Amino acid sequence: MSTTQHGHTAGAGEAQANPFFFNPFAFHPAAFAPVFDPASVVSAWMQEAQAGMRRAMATPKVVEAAAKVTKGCTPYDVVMTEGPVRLLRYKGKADKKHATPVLFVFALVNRPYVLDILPHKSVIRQYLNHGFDVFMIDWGIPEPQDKSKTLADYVEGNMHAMVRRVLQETGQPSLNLVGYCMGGTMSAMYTSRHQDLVRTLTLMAAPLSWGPACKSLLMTWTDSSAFNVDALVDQVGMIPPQFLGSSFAMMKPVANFFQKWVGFAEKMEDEKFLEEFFAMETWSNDNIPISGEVYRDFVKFGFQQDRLVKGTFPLGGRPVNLGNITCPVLTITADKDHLVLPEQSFPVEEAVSSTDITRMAVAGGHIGLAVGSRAHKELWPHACAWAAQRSDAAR
Amino acid sequence: MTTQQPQQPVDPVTAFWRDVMARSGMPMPSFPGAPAAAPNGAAAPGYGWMPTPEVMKRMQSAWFDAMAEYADQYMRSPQFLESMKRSMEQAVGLRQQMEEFLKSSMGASLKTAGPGATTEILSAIARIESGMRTEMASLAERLSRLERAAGVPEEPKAPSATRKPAKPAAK
Repeated sequence: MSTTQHGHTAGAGEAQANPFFFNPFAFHPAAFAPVFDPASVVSAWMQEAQAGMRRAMATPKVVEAAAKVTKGCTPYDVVMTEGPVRLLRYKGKADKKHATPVLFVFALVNRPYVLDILPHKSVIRQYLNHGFDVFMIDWGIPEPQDKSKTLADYVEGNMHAMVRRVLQETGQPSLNLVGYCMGGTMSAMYTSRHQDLVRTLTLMAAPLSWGPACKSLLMTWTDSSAFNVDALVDQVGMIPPQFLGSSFAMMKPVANFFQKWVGFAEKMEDEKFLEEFFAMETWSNDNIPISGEVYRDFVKFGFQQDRLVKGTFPLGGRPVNLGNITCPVLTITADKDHLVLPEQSFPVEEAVSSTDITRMAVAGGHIGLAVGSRAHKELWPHACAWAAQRSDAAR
Repeated sequence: MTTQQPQQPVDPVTAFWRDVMARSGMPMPSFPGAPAAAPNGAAAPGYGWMPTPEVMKRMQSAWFDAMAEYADQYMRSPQFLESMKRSMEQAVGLRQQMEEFLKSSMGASLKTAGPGATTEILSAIARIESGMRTEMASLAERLSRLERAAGVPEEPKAPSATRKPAKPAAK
């Protein structure tokens, strides 16, 4: 290697160590094609240019698809309201085969219609088509006065009232509880307090443990050395939707800010893709605020102190004891979930007293559990059958 | 016998590009001054060569993957966490100052209850409402248990409102 102060000449080793010597056109063609054929390369670029033109011509379709978006696809009755919280009962076309109803509990940080986003990607319809009577708690959009509403208010107040109403409507002694994400955590808490009213507990990507084995980015960001949750909640009261939305988006910045749009540009001719893309975009941008007290409890007692599986998570002045859960439990996880790692759901299996515990997993991400094609083909039919086997038959 | 050369520390940019190349399944690029020869020993064409769209896509995908990994590493680094903590503290402090200013100046000049006070009152009402609702629900449950025990027939349920999914926005 030879170097001089002026007129720098680089040897191969030095050049490899210095990115400024990078020349993208200097790749050896043997790396790309066995035989370099200029005509085929030009032809490929011509085809690419034509595809670009076709995509540009598809712009009106994009506008049309964006205007067609609906929030949920299955009709429902509103059977109960408590402030912004509503209890929805879905109307299915299939005959009722199971008397034990299903109640979905979604997270407080997003809208629940992702579970019913499109007819061919609706978890609600999966259960309806299996012959269940399906209900869902829509937490609604909290108002400024809800800033001091605690997790106990939601679980022991709204959720308990809705569960009783479902049982009253259906005339059943117990129901199948299905909780998604934070809704799963709340469902586990509820079941530990009211085991007699819950026939089965299904936990979809539910965070229940925040131990040292959980290496998610959210765990790093909410570590007490880096994040003062008290200062934030004391000051803002209600956690704004922009804060939550941007935090979730920043967990995968390249995928959310670049790859998604590259993928969109490549597939914008496809009407089915556009329908799904805009449905998901509408949902993912439909963030809602969350009560500061709920956020404080969740971050402090969950993320920072991991008190739920230890049996010391305080709810309404009393610790939650997951050991009170004796019903059949189904844990559903997604192997590429970056929000709730599968390791955060599994410890519940040790914490509960149930003997009937089943684990189901699907390849995909956190939201893929609800909207992924693979989940709808490979997971939900089995999850519905699992609940069906443990439910009473309809008369 | 092969001898392992000690690994020299590389700067992050070089490490990143090496990672991109490894992910795209391509060899490290040849550089001006480096011998241009194919693995089979054949002479390589000049720099006028252009990769196909497929190759560019493969490189793009490798770039995204590497970038995602490096972004994740950065967002876990003490430097990022420290800057996040500082920004949060500054944002909270600024909000606090603004609120204090508004309370002291606006409240005194307008002689009215500020939005904070209104929210506090509404919160208190909401808390009372929530408590009452819970109490009433437990009373209702107790009453229905007593009624069932006494053999009183159940009252018919109130009809529920029917909703359809939201209509699409007008074109």
